[in-house]
Amino acid sequence: MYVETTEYSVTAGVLARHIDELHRLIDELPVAAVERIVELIVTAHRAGRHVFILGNGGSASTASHFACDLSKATISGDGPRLRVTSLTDNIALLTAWANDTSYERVFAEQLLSLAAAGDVVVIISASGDSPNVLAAARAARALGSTTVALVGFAGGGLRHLADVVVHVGSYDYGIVEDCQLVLEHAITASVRDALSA
Amino acid sequence: MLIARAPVRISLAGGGTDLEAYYSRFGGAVVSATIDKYFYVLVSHSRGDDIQVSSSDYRTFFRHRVEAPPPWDGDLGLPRAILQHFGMRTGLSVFLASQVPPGTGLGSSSTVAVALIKAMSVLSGRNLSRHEIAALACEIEIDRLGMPIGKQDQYAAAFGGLNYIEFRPDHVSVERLSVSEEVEFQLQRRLLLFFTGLAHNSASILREQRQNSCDERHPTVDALHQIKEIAIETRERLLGGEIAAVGDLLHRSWVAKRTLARGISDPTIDRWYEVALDGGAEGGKLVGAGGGGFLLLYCEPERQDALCGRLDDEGLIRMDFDFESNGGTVIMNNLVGWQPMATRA
Repeated sequence: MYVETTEYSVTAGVLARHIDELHRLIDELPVAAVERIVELIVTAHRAGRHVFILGNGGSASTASHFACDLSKATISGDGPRLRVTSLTDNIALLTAWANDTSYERVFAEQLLSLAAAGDVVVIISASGDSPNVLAAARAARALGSTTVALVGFAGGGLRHLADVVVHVGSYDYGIVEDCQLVLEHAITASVRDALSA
Repeated sequence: MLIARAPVRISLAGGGTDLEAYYSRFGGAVVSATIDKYFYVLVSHSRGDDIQVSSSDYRTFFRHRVEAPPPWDGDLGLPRAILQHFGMRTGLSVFLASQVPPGTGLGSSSTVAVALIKAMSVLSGRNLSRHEIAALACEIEIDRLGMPIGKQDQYAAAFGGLNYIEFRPDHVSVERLSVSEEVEFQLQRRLLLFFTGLAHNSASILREQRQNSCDERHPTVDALHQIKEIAIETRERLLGGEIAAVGDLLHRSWVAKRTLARGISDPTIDRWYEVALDGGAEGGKLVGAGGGGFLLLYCEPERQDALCGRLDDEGLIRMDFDFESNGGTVIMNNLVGWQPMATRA
């Protein structure tokens, strides 16, 4: 593959800044909170409970990705497998709630159908303030599910609503979302280790 | 005429552990408070030898000749069984009326039993103790009529007040929680009741719950263990005057209770509860078996206006109440000396 380079590269500058910022924020990730999330997921799994994951935009894609990894990349031997559902993947249902009721209810109403005490609801959001993720957090609380929030910016309302919060202290969507992908892979790997131990 | 009444109750914690399927193996415990909404029994002479029973709430009426064998079915099966227990000999007219609609989770069927037994106990000159009244109500409802219910409502209605009630295989004990008037007042003003407009069939919910409780490994049993622990903690917190803990205790009770059987909650109830928490309530639960009835919420006074506004928008109706502490009583009796029934041989 041929890549054209110039003496002065804007791209290289952006990339360097992006990587520097990622380095800094990844170094600051609260390991204790991440360990707590792993423990919650493992405990829920052992009790036969479910994990639900949700988010908007880039976070929706992270939610799907996370659900895929937690479902498949944690399988060890013939033991029971994690029950993981991303609430971002049923387009028919999402658009039905959005169209018929409101966009704010797209995740909360799915939780009312599926979630219960002992389940873990992972909410991924850069701002932590989108009305539909706040509604999801409230619904999860009303159902007795444990809520985990992966948030950026200042943490938003989710910071106060969720049981465990991992906050990435950046106002850049790309940086926050990159860190959240790192988090989901690290959590998946830790859950796999815990289950195969 | 003789008028007896018994109060309905709000259950703060422990509901479900008063079912025999559970307490006979693990022991049960509840905390409940009676409120100033009553079930009334009005007894008067009736011409002839017949026994007449009418109930506005069940929209039903029954007339029965003394010699005929008592039929056991229908909504008036309970009053029939109680009247039969006390051995009718003379014409009697009984009118039943309730301040809360039936099927609303405030323990109304057992309240009926307690009020009626209290009335018959005084009329027959037996003057049963509170314990005897509650035990007889349980015997008639559960053993004789086969209702799949627990025992907490009978004891709450017979004793009245804020109580911690323990259920053992052969004994029920009632502890009046000795909290100051101030603590009781502060608790009461933070508790709100909302009528959901849904009437439930507690029997079908409780039947499934009883079935689930029989299997030791069933999640229902774990949930009931948690619910009992919450009742024990509620007693301790109240005795320590820690009212602020009650919101969270109610919340934990509710999320455990939701899992006991299908039909306890549904998405509409869950959404109302979600609105309540968002609107300022710190916790709450459906009182009674679930499936509808009254929603009990804990909310700090300064947030109550906002909360009531939110729930009003959802169509829920608030019912004002005060705690009461009298239990089942006869409030009027000018039938003294009249012996409408003979004691059973």
